[in-house]
Amino acid sequence: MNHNISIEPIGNKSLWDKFIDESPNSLLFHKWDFLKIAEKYTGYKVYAYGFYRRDELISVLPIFHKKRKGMNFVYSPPQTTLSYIPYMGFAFSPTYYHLNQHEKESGLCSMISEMDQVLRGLSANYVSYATVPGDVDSRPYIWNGYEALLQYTYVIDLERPLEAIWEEFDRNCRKRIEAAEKLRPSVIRSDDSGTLFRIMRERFADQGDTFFHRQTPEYLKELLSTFPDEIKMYFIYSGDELIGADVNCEYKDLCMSWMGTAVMKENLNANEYMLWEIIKGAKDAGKKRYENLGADEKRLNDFKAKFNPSLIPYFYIIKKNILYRTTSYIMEKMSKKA
Amino acid sequence: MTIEIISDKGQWDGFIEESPYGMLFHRWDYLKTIEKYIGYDLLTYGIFKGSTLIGVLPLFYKKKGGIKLVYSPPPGTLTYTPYMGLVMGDIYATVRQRKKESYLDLAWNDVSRELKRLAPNYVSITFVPDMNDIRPMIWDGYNTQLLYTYLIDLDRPLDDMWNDFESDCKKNIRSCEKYDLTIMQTSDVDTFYSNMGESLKAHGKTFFRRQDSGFLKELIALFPDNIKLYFLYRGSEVLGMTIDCMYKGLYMGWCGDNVINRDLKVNEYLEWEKIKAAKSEGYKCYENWGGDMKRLNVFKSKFNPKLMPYYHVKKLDAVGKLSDFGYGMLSSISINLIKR
Repeated sequence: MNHNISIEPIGNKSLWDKFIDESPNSLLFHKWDFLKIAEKYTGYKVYAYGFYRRDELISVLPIFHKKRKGMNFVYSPPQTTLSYIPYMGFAFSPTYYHLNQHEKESGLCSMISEMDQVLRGLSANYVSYATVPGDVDSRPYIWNGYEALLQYTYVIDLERPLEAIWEEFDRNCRKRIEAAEKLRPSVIRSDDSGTLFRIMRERFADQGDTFFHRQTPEYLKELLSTFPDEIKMYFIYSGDELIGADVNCEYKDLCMSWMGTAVMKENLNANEYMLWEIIKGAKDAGKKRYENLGADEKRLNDFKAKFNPSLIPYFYIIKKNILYRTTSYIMEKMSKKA
Repeated sequence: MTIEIISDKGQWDGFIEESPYGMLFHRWDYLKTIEKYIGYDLLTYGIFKGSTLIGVLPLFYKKKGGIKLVYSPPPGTLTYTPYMGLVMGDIYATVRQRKKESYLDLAWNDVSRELKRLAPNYVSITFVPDMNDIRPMIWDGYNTQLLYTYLIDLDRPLDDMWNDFESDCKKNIRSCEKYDLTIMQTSDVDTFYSNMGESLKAHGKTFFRRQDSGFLKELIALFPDNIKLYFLYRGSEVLGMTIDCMYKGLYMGWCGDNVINRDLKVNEYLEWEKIKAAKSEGYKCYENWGGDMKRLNVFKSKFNPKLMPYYHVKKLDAVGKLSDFGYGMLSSISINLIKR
């Protein structure tokens, strides 16, 4: 055991959720019920760990474990094609963020070392964390043998006046929103996850095994009913015709366009319109940030960047042991030969 | 957009001065001094949108043992230069995100085309901390490495900074204040060099063993207002030495911080004196360069700095990979031999 940090499993939902609600970097995806639903629908087993510094809980980490083809996989969050969860990893207490830089660094190093002991107990061959944007320090992972892959996402600051946010949109974006407004589309809240999945499956038919093909609509349905104040699905109609759909995730001061933003009628400018409506709604609800998830797909960035967001980095942290590396290498060679 | 070699020093330096991403390490004379001392060819590329210069990229090129190398900056063991890479102009800094992405994409397309023409086996580029969008390089097949440095915001009151230091750091500073210590600017690069070389002997072929002291002398002579060597004295005894680099709003603890007398904890004292001086001279930010060496971070993080990431990208073909592997092996063998 490390002298400063100790690790213990947490089985108490209210202790966990209270910590998550108070943590400055935690997300809805860290909440107990969210983890349990992800466990139920991904087939991975969830473990919830707490890290204590002198008896004070200063961090928690949920991990998902599964043995597949003789290999042990540990994820936090589980693969996006199964869970659509973008970030997870460590959630820290306000105390952690108030530590000075030196204690923060040594604290995170110790937490990762403690966690690695647990992972050794699980005989993990592959470990992957996706850190929450804003937590920039990947060094303690690297010093513990992990590799860090850089990723980006887009965030809009909602603390500015709405007019200032609007003025910063590309001219063409504003024009498209104004054109859509003339059609008086209606945005209606819905829990019809089956329709969203059907639309998305059709839209991504040529993209292989996406989340919408691998997962069932019941997963989203259960999330919508468990978190009615946080996860909201909207359908956008022109008259009676469904022209767009979006699933938002709202938690603390963040509103995230999470799942979808599917548009069925490209020529109606529904995408820009819907995003603007979400931004206005989020600001009205007192949110401070709006995240348009993901900035690593070039084909989507041209649309997302129209709203003049800030670019925020985050990391995939990965460790593969020698057995995993060797097996992957052989499999790759064999598939190339075939 | 078009890319072409810039040979006008005034145009180049004017751009670097105005760009929020331009550092002293990008200045024309700095680059020319590197070229002179390391034997690489300097290629000073300008990227133009119509007739407007929107970005510059200094590259150092060399064919060595049949292997074509491209660096920006060249290896630290030859130049001790932390950052270089592509510098976009102030237009890039002010336009909206979509335009920013389009400018960077187009600029990198030109750079990439030029690099393909040079056909190097090994390309290594390290960007300045604020050039934080490296997606065009990732999409172009470059491997990325995340690096870190430590910054202290000098806009805060001095008392706030002091209160943020760790208690043992404050104690060490106070214990030094009892002595009659003085910090003097000097031009004695040779003494600095021999001390640093000796102190870093166990670390193999460092900059202080590979590079001639003339390199640093020439830089100090060329940039007397920007690169300064200081010695810390107790009476006539030298206790510590440092080379600092000041440019625009940034004061960087760059080279050295060597502590000669281990009985006194002068390292913390020297750092605090530099922070105070930087603030009083109107600098906005103090950088204690480098946050990636665990053994040094224990000291650096005592001052409660902010951690700032910056990016290094690298592309190697099969020949480059082989040479990189061979160089790594040789370095570790040489360090082990020295340690033995």
